[in-house]
Formats: sequence, structure tokens, C-alpha cells
Amino acid sequence: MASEYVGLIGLGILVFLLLARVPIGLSLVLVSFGGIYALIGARPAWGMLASMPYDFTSKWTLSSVPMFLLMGFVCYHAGLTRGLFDAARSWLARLPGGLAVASVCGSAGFAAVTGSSIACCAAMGRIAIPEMMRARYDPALATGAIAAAGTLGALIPPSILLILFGVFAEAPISKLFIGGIGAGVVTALLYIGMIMIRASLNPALAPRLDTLPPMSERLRHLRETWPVMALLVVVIGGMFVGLFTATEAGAVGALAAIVIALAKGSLTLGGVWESLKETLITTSSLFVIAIGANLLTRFLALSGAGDFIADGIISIQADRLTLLIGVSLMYLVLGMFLDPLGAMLLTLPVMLPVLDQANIDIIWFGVFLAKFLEIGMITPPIGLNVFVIKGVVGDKVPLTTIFRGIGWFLAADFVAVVLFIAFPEIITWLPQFMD
Amino acid sequence: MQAIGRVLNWISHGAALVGAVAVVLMMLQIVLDVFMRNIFQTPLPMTTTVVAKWYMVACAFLPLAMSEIVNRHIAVEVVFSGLSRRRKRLVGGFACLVAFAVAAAMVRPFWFEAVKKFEVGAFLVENGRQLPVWQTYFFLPIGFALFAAVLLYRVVLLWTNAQSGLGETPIDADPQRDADPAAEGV
Repeated sequence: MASEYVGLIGLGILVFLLLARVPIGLSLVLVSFGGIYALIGARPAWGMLASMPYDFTSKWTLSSVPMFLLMGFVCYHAGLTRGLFDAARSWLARLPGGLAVASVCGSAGFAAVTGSSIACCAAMGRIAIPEMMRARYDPALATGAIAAAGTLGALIPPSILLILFGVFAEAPISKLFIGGIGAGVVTALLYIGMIMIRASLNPALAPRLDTLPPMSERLRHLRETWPVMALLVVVIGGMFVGLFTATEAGAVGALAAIVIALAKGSLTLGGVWESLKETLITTSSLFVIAIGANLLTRFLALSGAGDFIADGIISIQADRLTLLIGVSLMYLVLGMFLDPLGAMLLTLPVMLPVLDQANIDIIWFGVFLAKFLEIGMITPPIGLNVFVIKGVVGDKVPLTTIFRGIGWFLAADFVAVVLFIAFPEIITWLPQFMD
Repeated sequence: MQAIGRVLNWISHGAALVGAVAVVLMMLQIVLDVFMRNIFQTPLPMTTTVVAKWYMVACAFLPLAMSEIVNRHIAVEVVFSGLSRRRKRLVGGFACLVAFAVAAAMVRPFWFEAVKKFEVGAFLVENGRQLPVWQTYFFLPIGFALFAAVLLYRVVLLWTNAQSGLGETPIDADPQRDADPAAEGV
């Protein structure tokens, strides 16, 4: 049998295992090992399995994954980001849809200390949704705003998705981080613009608050954001002036978050253990998939199936725009059904050669991909952010209402994607200064 | 059966605790290295090697079983979530059995690799200093053996009416109702 067919059969078995709910990482290991065994024999297959997981994991660059996770969890469990929404609300409440605008700004701020959209969504949801419901905001707008704004967590640095993309695509993580800022800010601005237009056209969606708190109170709220501001200054500032690298920034940020939380007296021993436990759970489940994806890359390379599919895509000789539309549709569908990390690592072995041949900027694509995978976090049927919001609101808001509210934000995301394709500089402008 | 579950839970959390110590040490050592490098121009020796070979390997592999106990290994739920409760137990048991077979099969090569490294006393050299690393190769068979044991325990629970002592999150938990707002994703 031609080796390409071994590869394609392997991919077919992989789909079956995934649909049967076998964990993604172990499915990848099983199919890749079986394929390598069939192609080059038992000895090299066992040899690869014995040494690859250790070699892949024991990388200095990857240490930023547990460190940034720890930083985000400490912030979450110590409530360091609580002041963000209050400050945004006290300054922005008089705008049309002011509370929803404030929650987008709060999420953008939280995104700067966490790499995860779910953590961002959960933290902001608990604070902002009850506030909006009290102000008689439309439940669809209130919940949709938080679910969508949560996706900023994986765009605005730090971002776990971008770190792993950087490792797999051998792209500089610091440039991906800086590229993510442009995409995150444009997305946040589009969300804010859409909320304000809708609230102006239909004031019943978001009853306007007539009074702002006095200046002294607004300044007090602003001062309460000091934990996040201090973290930003330490992490971003330290990286910018060259005190430490992007890899080391996670550790500095995690320790800074712990010190700030202790200074505030808001971190308990239970909170420390929960933060460590969540860090370990996420790190270990993530590395099993990454190891499986690494084995799949080797299997597809050996079988030639990766090149076979990539050549098939390239032979269509689609122009850049058609190719990107095709890729976008693929990730949109994958994101609807798969976890973002799984979708990314499953497809990169095939996509990377295509990008290479089509001369698509790798930094731009990494951020573009993160954007699409995050859109998958709010699309039915498996919108993880939506489930988190549902967990926060309980029976008060039906799931269909949350998805209805998200529809408008998806429209804003569509505009964002069009802008990223039409003006790639949104993503690539800032990273070019790092050359 | 319940006693086995309790022991498994205890050992899995014990292994994860070692991983937690590795995370804390990783954070402290990296920050100390940054501090020493910037203030005294003398970086902490072997930081990148210790972080990569010791702490990373410990925190990636030792908590595998704990992650399985709380049902956080990422799987595709799209077909599974639409099944009836009875079919979920059947299909879920099959999925855990396949996962168990893979995890258990990985223990053997990892173990032989670790023994090989132990026999030669594997170490790394950096600027004339030696760092023993053979011990870290044992984190893989330990992590995957515990992971496999928890998966096998799940198969028994799903296919029989045995009472669990593992304190696990069931794999047929409703993701909408049971979504944990603190749960991390990416």
C-alpha cells in the first residue's frame, strides 16, 4: 500500500477515536504510533515513543506555559482583577450601553494577566452580569458581551494558544504576543462600537444611567486597579526594557501576582493550592495533546500524507484570498466542535507546509488562527465560554438567549476577520519593530 | 473497590503535589536567575537546564492521573453529549478502555528508557558543572502508570454498578449544568 494511504487511513481512524470520546492526546499517540509502526517497523516506532515525549517536554521555552497559567489563576483566586470592572463602570457608565462597554474594557484588562479566555469569562461574568441585570439590561446583551469579551483572553498577551503555536511553528513567541495586541485591541473596539450603536438605536436594550459617581469615587475606583496595573508594569515593562525574556516573564508575573495578593491580604493557602492544582491540571492535559500532535507530525511526514493533502490544497492554485477564506471556513467549522487547542494542534502538521508554500506571514497567521479558534469558543453547539456564562447565571437566562446575544458579537468578529485579511498590518505592524 | 479508589486518589494527588513543588521551584529559580543576572551580572548556574529537565518534566507528567480524576483531559464531546445515559456509560467505558490500553502501553518503553538512563547515570554538563537527570526519566512511567490505573478504574465503574471511592468527576457530567467557572481552558 502506498504510504500516503497509510497516512489517510490513520487520519480516518483518528476521526473515529475522537468521535468515540477517546481523549484527543491519547488518540493522536495511538494512531501516530500505529502508523509509524506500519511504515518503518517496530524498533523505530517504539524508540520514537520512548524518547520523544521527554525530549519534547523538557524545553526551556515551554516553561512559560505553566508560569503564565499560574499567574492567571493567582489573579483569579485572589480577586486581583475585581477592581477593573468597577473602574471601567464608574468612568464609562454614561455611554450608551455603558455597563456592557465597561465589561469589554474590564475583560481586555483581565486578558493582559491571563492566557485563557475561559478564566477571563468566568471572572468578569461573576462581577459584571449581576450588575447589568440590576440595571435592567437585556439579558442577551449582558451575557453575550461577557462571553464574547472573554475571547480577548487568548488574543491579548499572554496567550497559551500563541505560545504553543510559536513552539510548533518555530515562530518567535514575543512577536506573536505583540501581534496579538493589535488583534485584541481592534476586536475590543469593534465590540464597543457595536454595543454603543445598538444601545443608541434601541435604548431599551441598555437603560442609560443618568448620573456618574462623584469624581472622588471615580478616582478611588481607578486606584483600586493598582494590582493589575502593577502586574502590567512589571511584566510588560520588564520585557520591554530587556530585564527578562518572554519565557521568563511568566515566572516574574506569577511571583509578582503572589506578592501583590499577599500585600492585599486576599490570597489564602486554599487559594494557592487551587491555583497550583489548576495550573497542573491544565499543563498536563495540554502536554499530552502536544506530544500526540508532535507524533502525528512525524507520522504524516513519514507517510507523505501531510504533503499529499498540502499539495492537494496548493495544486488548486488558489490566490491568497481564496486560500484564506477556505482556511477560515475550515477553522470556523472545527472550532464549533473541537476544543481550540485540539483544533490547532490537529491541523498544524498539514497547515504549516501550505502556509510556507503560499508565503503567508507566520506571525500574522498565528494570531489570525487564535482569533478563529476563539470564535469557536462562542459558537454553538460547543461554545465553552457560553457554558461558563450559563454556570454563572444558572436558570435565570436560557442558553438560547445567551447564543442570541452572541450573534451580534459574531457579526463584529466577522468584520474583525475581514479587517485582518484586508489590513494585515493590524497584526504585523507592531512586531516589525522588534527586528 | 472503594478502598482501591481511595488509595488511587491519594497516590494521584501525592504525585500531583510533587508536580506542585516543581512549579513553585520553577517560578522561584527563574525569578532568582533574572534578579542575579540583572543586579550582580552572575546568573544562577544551570537554570535553563534544571527548569527544562527537572521542573517541566515533573509538572507535565506527574499530575496526569489527577487531571483524569477531575475529567479534564480534553476529548471531543460532540457525539457523546447527545447519547442517552446508558449509551454514555457504554461508549464512555469503551473510550476509557482504549485510553487505558494506550497509556498502559506507553509505560513499558518509558520504563526501559528510564532504567537505561539510570544504568548509565545520565547527566548534563554546562560550564563544567554536572547535573544528574536520570531520575527525571522515571516521572514518565510513574505518571502514565497512575493515569492508566485511573482509566481502568473508570472502565470498571462505567460497566458495573461498583461504588466509587475515587472521588472522580463522572465523564457523563452535563457540561452546561456542571461548567465550573474557575475551570481553565485556552
